[in-house]
Amino acid sequence: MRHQPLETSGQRPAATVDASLPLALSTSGLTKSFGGRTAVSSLNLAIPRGVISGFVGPNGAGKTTTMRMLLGLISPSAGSGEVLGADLGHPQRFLHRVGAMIESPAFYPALSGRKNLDVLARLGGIPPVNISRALRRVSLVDRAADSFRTYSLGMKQRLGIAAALLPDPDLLILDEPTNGLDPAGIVEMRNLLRSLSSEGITIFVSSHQLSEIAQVCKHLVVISTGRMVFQGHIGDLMSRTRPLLRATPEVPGQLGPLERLAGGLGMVTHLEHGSLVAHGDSTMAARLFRAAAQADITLVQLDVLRPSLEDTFLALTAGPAGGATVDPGPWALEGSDD
Amino acid sequence: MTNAFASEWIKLRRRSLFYGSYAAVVAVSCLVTVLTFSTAGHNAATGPAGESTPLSQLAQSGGSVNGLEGSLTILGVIAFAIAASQMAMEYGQGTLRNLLVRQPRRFVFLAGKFLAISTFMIGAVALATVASIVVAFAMAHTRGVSTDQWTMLSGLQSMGTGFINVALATVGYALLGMALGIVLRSSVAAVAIGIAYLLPVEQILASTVTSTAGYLPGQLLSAVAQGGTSTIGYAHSLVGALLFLAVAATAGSVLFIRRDVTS
Repeated sequence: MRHQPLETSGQRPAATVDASLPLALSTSGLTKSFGGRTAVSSLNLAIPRGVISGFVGPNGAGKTTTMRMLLGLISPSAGSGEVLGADLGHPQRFLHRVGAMIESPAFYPALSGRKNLDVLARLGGIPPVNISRALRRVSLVDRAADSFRTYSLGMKQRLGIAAALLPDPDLLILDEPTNGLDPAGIVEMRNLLRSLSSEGITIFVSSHQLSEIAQVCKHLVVISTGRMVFQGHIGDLMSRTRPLLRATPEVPGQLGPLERLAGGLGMVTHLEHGSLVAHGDSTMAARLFRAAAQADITLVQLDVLRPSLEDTFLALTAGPAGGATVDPGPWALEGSDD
Repeated sequence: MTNAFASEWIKLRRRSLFYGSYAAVVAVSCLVTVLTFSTAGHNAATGPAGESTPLSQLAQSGGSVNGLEGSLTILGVIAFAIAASQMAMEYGQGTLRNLLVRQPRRFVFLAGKFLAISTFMIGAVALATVASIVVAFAMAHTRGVSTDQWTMLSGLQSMGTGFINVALATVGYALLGMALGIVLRSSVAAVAIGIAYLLPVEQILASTVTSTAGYLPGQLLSAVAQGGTSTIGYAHSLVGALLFLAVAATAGSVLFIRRDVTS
């Protein structure tokens, strides 16, 4: 049994986004091609204000290219958009309200952390008082006078966040902010993002750490090979992945009859390590349990397994169209072929 | 533009770059001044090291800045290298993406950066001018060259004109360096290619096919610094250099503004 992802070539309807929230960021048909290669294709983003929105996809899916387009660093080949109500084509109209960290934090190695922020603050006409505030925010005050080249990876990442916070942004665009951080650093970053979000800052954050995304984001955008495969609340996405039932009979010889029973209930099943595995929720589990009892089959195990975000992500992005090369496992999305 | 200017100066003020560049420029101008006076003879002569200046010419009103003007090629190469690396490193280190998020008006950013690098180099030339003139007075004393005309009004005017011409030429080199830095996006490549062209390639071309000298950017800038030479007039050098610089500035600006920032 191999499950194909749902709508890997098309886009989710905008109905998956909470329409009651105003949008911090939206795009329509945003496309970027480099020569003959399309890196981002017809992306219709709708990121609500005031939430932390996760942006996930396999390597090379087009996340960084999308973020660069949103920041005016790359001009789109086609499409349009709005950031904080201003036209995407005129970045000078919105970038003074946007903080960003794209890819690895890039600073001048010979300059201190504070001087590096001073370079950016002067350039953007940002008051010097914001530098100290941003450094305090990321707990870098003690090392602010040291040159950037002496910083650890975690400190470099924190300086990148401080640079993003310089303009007191309404929108933060962060590309892999937890890259290279140790577990304590990841927790610190998570708390910082939550704290910033509680102040009303919209955060659009890409990450490979799906467990992190699941912990801090309410809203999620999934792209694969440059195309959007999901956009909406994480709960909506998780509910689209069917749970699995795992039933183990007391007598191994009853596995065959149990499989026939499940088939009779309309379940699509397969056998795995002496257990029956089928797609189904707790209602299906109850039906299978009753049917097994009536057929004198004693079950020693009957579990309903919920997929993790990682399972769902792999199911969404699996296969040639999705681009992911990892086996998505047994999880399938609602509406996909069994 | 003032924000971009002030921001760039924070980078230019870093100790190694600031003191290193200024010390190099002063050392070169002083060295060339010493060599100019020590190799000067009663008549002009051409040796393996080039053409020596007659002592009588050094005693004229422009004699005090003769060494400074002679050091232009090396000053120009220093200006070129600083500008090229300051520009290309923004690509190489990935800092350009941070900068353009804070200043999305790319031409304003570029103009501010150029202005900052230009003032940095003009400061260096000013220091080199003072140092070179001081050394010239000392060397004139040891070689028995009269400095009477240097301290007259025409001599002081020559000092001012010499400084302005060398500063103009140095800024020209800096502009060429920035343009090449934008095109190549690599400090090492920009500096290596630029210096390889300005020193051996152009020098060989100008000396073997003398008719080309008036049409080569380095030769034209060198002539501007000297207030014109026997083969290239000042007006011709000024117009020719400006044409080259206009092309370089336009190409660099258009490329910088239109090109995607993917580094």
